[in-house]
Amino acid sequence: MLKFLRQAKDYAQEAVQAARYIGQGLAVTFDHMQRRPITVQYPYEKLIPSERWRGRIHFEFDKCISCEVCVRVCPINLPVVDWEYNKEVKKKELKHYSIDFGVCIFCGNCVEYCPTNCLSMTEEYEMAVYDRHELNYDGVALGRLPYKVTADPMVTPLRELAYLPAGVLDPHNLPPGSTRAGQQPEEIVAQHQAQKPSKEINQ
Amino acid sequence: MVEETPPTVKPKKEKAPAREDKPFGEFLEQDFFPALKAAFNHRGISDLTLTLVDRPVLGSSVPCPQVVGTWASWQFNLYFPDRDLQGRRAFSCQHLGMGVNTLEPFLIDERKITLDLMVFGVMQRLNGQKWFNGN
Repeated sequence: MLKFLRQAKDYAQEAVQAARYIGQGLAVTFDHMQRRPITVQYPYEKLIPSERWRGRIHFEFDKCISCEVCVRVCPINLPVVDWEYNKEVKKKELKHYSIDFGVCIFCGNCVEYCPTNCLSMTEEYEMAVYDRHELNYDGVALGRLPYKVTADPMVTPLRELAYLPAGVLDPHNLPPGSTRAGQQPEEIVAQHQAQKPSKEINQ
Repeated sequence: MVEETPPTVKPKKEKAPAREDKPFGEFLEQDFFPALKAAFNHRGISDLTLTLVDRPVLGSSVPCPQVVGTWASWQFNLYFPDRDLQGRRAFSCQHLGMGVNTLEPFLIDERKITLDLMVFGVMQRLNGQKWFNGN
């Protein structure tokens, strides 16, 4: 009899535990139930890409040393680096550099490994063309300054969900000066520095 | 019989001061401009005009010494805000008569600027712009 009761108790406990785990797993799903769709009126309103957005690659001609590291780290050896050794100054003379964004997968390896930081990611993501060969950007096109959502006077920039104040779901008509939920990086640094001296005293 | 002078007696010839040590304007006028013109001639362009002007960069009120080079319908500018080759340098290029839109660094990774490097830098940059021959 006692054994049966213990079994029943264990079963009930495990059932409760399982229900709790399922609830935990679905918490994010349930969180979405209170979110309503937000419409971004696209050509007039655009979302601001997040900090580590990997958009079109920017290329600075002056910094390139034609080392071809970008080609080596590219999964498909995509960048084209055309250079010739200049015997007079004993330097490689870069003649042509191009990346075909119709083929690029925006993995960012070239940007990561470029030894002179001459490649960088921009937040430009609108690269619609009529002919896919127009996406083959040469050094001149790669060197153009990127389009910025926040710098376009015709566009209302909207923040993504992660950059909205706590509890706010609609990026429209935010009060000026509202910051995203959580601490700002400079606040974290200030807090860290405030804690430092007390730790040193304890040591 | 010619008497040979022992090598120790002969005073060591003083190394001529480098061209790059000349005063800024003098170096540009006497060395850089002819060298760049020769490099352009080598490419078959003879109508290059080079001038050194003191003009503020757009958006600033401080006059900035700059080399303005023009030929056909092209123009390029080299900026030396410190009035020194080894100081800060910038580059811009545009269609003749159009405004400058991007200021780029010029030979930013070089430790020491020499005449050859400057000519090399300008020629490489303009060739990269596809201004000498088509794409």
